[in-house]
This record gives sequence, C-alpha cells and structure tokens, in this order.
Amino acid sequence: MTLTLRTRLVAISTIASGLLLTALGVASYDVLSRHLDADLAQRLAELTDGLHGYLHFDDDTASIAFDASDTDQAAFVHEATRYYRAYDAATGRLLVESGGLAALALHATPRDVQAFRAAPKPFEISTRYGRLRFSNSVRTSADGRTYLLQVGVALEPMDAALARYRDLLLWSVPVALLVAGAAAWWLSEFALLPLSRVAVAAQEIDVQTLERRLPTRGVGDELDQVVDAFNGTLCRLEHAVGEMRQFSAALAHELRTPLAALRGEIELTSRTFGSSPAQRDRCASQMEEIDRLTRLIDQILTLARAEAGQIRLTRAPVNLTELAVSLVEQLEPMAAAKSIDLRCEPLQAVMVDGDFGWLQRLLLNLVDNAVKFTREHGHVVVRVTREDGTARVEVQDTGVGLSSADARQAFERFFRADPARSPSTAGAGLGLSLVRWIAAQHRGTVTVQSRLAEGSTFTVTLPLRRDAPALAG
Amino acid sequence: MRVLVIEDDRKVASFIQTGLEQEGYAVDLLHDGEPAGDQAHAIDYDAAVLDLMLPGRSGFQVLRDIRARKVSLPVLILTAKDALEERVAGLDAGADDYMTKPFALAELSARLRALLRRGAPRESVLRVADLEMDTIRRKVRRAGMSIELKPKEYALLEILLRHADRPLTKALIIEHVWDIHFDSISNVVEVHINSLRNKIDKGFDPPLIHTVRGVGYVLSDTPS
Repeated sequence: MTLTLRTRLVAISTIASGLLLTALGVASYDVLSRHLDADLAQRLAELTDGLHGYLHFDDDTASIAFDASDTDQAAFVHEATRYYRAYDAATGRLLVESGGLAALALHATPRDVQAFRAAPKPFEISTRYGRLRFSNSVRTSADGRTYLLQVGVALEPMDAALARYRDLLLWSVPVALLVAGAAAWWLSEFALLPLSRVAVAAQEIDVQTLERRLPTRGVGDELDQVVDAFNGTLCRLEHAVGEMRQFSAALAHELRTPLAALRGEIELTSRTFGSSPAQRDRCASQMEEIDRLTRLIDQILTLARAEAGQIRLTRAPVNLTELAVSLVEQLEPMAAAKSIDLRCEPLQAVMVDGDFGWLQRLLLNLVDNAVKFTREHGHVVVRVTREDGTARVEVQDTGVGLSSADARQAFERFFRADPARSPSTAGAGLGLSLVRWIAAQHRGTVTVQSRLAEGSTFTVTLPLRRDAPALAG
Repeated sequence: MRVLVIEDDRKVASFIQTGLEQEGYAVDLLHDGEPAGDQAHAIDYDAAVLDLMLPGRSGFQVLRDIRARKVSLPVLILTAKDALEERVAGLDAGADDYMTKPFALAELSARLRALLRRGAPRESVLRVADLEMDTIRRKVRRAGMSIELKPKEYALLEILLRHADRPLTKALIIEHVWDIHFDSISNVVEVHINSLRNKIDKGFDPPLIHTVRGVGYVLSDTPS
C-alpha cells in the first residue's frame, strides 16, 4: 500500500507529538511526585521538631502542653498529634500514643524501639487509613530522659493528587494527540494545496499543449523551485517535440521522392517490351514491397501527426449505428470470402458527436482486425449500444485471441502478437494505436478482453451526443 | 496529347516522361517552376503535372502563374505530403487532381486520361468483347445473358470498363467506388474483384478481368 505524502506527514507529526507528550507526561509526573514527597518530608520534619517542644514528661507518662487560645498553635498541635507516639528509649516502654494511632494497634516491641533508636529514619506503613509516613527522632528531655518520638502524616492526599494527575495525563495525552493529528491533517492540506494545484496544472499539459507553463507563486520557496525545474523540462520537451514534428514532415518528403523514383523505374522496366514473365514477376514483387513500405510510412506519419496534435478533428453529429451497419455491409463480402459470419447487432440507435471519417476508420480498423484474426467459419459481431450517457461499440470475434500479457500492450505502437498466430496479412501493428488515439480524441476509451484461442472483444466507449433527441430503437 | 511535367527530381521526372511517352503522350520537362507560366502560355498543352515542392518557386506560385495565363489547362499536382490540409490547399489553389508520391505510373496515366476526358460526353453503353453495360438502364449482359450485380460490383465494373485495357490501381478504385477511405489496410478490392469474376468471367471465355501484379487490375479481352 502506498501512503500519500499527506498521510505520511500527519503520521510522522502525530507519532512525534505522541512521543513528546508521553515523555513530558512521565517527566512531569516524576517531578511532581518528587516535589510532593519533598514537601511532605519537610512538613514531617517541622511537625516532629515542633512537637518536641510541646512534649512534657511526668514520670512514666508524657503529655502535650500548648496554649489552646492560640489558634495557630492549636491547629499545629492538632495536625502534629493525629498520629504520634513516644517511647522511652532506654526501656522501650510506650510513654504516649495518640488516639488515632492507638486505634491501629501498631505496637512496637522494645527491640523495635532499639532498632529505631540505632537508626532513626523515616518509615512508611500501610494502614486502613491509607499509607502513613513516620519520622523517628531521638531526643533527651529537660529531666534527662532519652525518648523516641514518632510523628506520622497521612500520604493519602499526596497519593490522591498523584493519582488524579496520572488520570489527567491518561486521557489528556490521547485527546491532545487526536487534536494534534487533526491539526496536522488540516495544516498539511493547507501546506500541500499549492502542490496539488501544480499537479492539476501539470496534468492538463500534454504533447499538444507543451507551450503552457506552470505558474510560480513568486515567493521563491521550494515549491517554486520545483515548478521552475518542471517548466525548464517543459521548455526542452517543447523544443524536442518541435524538432520531431519538423522531422516527420521532412521524413515524408525525403522518403517519398526516392521511393517514387524507384517505383516508377521498376514499373517502366516491367513494361519494357521483351521482358520475360519471370522478370515482370520480379518487378511486380518489388513494387509490392515498395507499396508496403509506402503504407507503413503513411501510417507512421499519420500516427506521428496525430500524436503531435497536427490533426484537427471535426465535430458533428454522427449516427454510430448507421455507420456500423453500412461498414459491416461493405466489409461483409470480405468476411464471406473467409466463410466468416460478420453481423451487426445494433440494438439501439446511438448518436455521438465526432468526426465521421475518423470514427469510420476506428470501426474499420477494429472490424478489419477481427476478420483478419478469425479463422474460417468463425463469427464477428459488431454491437452498438448505449448506457448511462455512454455509447458503446463492441467488436467481438472468435479469432485467435490474445494472451493477457499481449492484451495489455495491444494498443502500443508496432505491437504484434506471436507471429506464429498472426496471419501474413497482418499490418505493422499501428492500427490499434490509431484506434486508441481516435477514441481518446473523442474523449472515449478502448479496451480489449481476450482469451487465447477463444477470441477477443474490443470495446469502445464514447460520450453520447448531449441533448440528443430520443431515437426510436 | 502534349503534357508539361514540372518536377525537380530528375529521376522522377525522367520516369514520368518515359512512362507517358510509352502511352503516346508528348512530354516536356521543366526542373524548376520559374519558366512554367511562360511555357504553359507559349505552348498549347493538354495537361500539366506539377510537383508542389520545387526549388525557388513553390508549386502553389507556379500554379497561380499558370492559372493567371491559361485558365483551362488541367493541372495534376504531385506531392510528397499527403496531409489533408495540403490536398485541400492544392485543390483550392486551382489544381484539378492530386497525387501523393510514391505513385504508380498506371495511376498517373489513368488520372491524366480522366482529366483529358473531362467535359467529353460519357458513353451510355460500355462494351468489351461480349460484355456490355448499359449505364442508363443499369443492366449488364455477357454473351447476351443478363447478369445481376450488387451496387458495389456494378460501380467496380463500370470504372474498369471506362478504363478498359488500362490497369487501375487499388487506390484509384477505392477512391471511386467506396465512400470509405480504406487506406489500403483491407483487401476489400480483392474480395469484390473475386465476386465480380465469379459473375462475369465464370463460364465465359475469354476471362476479362486480369490482375496486374504490383499495379492493380485491368479489364481487357487481350491477355497481357
């Protein structure tokens, strides 16, 4: 499958945006979680430090003493004392524990306390309130008691914030990607519009309109450079085609005059009194060869002139059905000589706009070919029908047929199928090229369907004559 | 009959001269168009054969020179170009007929005969040996027996009869008998000649329609 430039541009930009957005999302999530973590660690340190100041020890118990009228102090203590406990560092005995923590029944053994004391690091535990992080700090109170204070904060708000951010990323990145893709699609259309305009303009240029040039936008961008290069090519092509046309006209004269001299002298020789029948025969054979050469030159020149746009077709209403009937009538004896059944089955009256002479030639070439390539007792049928604004001419034979490879190039110049199957009367392989040219000149097409040894059907479609009055079939 | 041939290619000019002289014409040759007008004026020619591509003065100019002096001289144009526009331009410029190189001598002389006969009354009954064609009643008889011909066969026989004893090229036959430009690609002439032979020669003696190899066909009661 080939992808259009536009599709590729959009795909590349979307993939790039996707990678960028994903990287940005991962990085920002990482930075956010680090910041939140750092903030929490700092807050925990503040809470721990502050709480040390409010702790008072009285023998085996500890209590918090603060000024309840100071709302700041009250709020601070409220926050710091949600999850806290203190142990006697020496004995491992629990001195005080907040209600919230007591409810979780997380008792530390004296051995645990010793371990905390040896390495007072923060730790996290999972509880039914979500994750909690505890600080460990060992201090000595005013009365000389060494104690271990653990203050906890809930990690749940941080986790929730991170989860929300992650969810945000999970839907916003794809949405942003879709938006970016749509924007790229629209932008690429905008960017490629001049290119498709150039393509349309270039398509309209054929060998008959080589004098045309593509317009540049005068901005000197890459597209203008391409257009300039293309115009340069057109210029060289126009020059070359001009030379070719002059050459084909010159060729006509240069070849025909010596051929005329040659043919005339041979004809004179054959007439000369006293020449033997064998000599006359040889002369006749030479003249036949010259005539063949002349026909070939004529065909080549006709085709060359046609393709060089030097032949102008007339446009007039042509009754395709009548044309086919009269042609078949005139060629019928030719088919009969080979015991071929040549029939016309025009089911409908069909009018087209076109050049009578050239359309006649088109049909003649097809029917002549069909008869040529059909063996004795075969059939050739010409059908003229109309459907959906199109005139359709079919020439079907039961001839030798074409292989699918041959059928593909049947309309190429000088194409001849396997010589073993071609009759000796076959031409130079220019007739079908001319058929294709004539069809194209009438904005029509010609196609062939064929099977070896079964026959071929050539189908010509031409636009119907517009506003043609309905004709009785 | 005296014919002026204006043709710059000496070989072509020479075979035209020889060929026409063999048929009994007196032929004068000119290799360029400059003196053509004067000569055509000075000598009372019956027809002129004019090449379009001449050095110096083009065939069209020569044609105008001739027409300026002698309006009625039949002129047959010879050219190496066969484009339709050229044909039309030649005939518009006052030429009476047109031939493309290379051509058969037989065709040149047939066309010249046609030009020379122009204006002469056409015979209404054509005869060769015991073959008879009544062009008014469109009846054909051989040895007194009536023969039915299809329209194309009739037209073919008529042109052969009008040029009896003179070979006719296929190109000339097609031009006169068919309204299709068959372009020599099809053997339609051979086929019609064959069906005509079946009707007028089969069972009769001598055969009248002969093939002249390399040229075309001739209707004659004397074998070539």
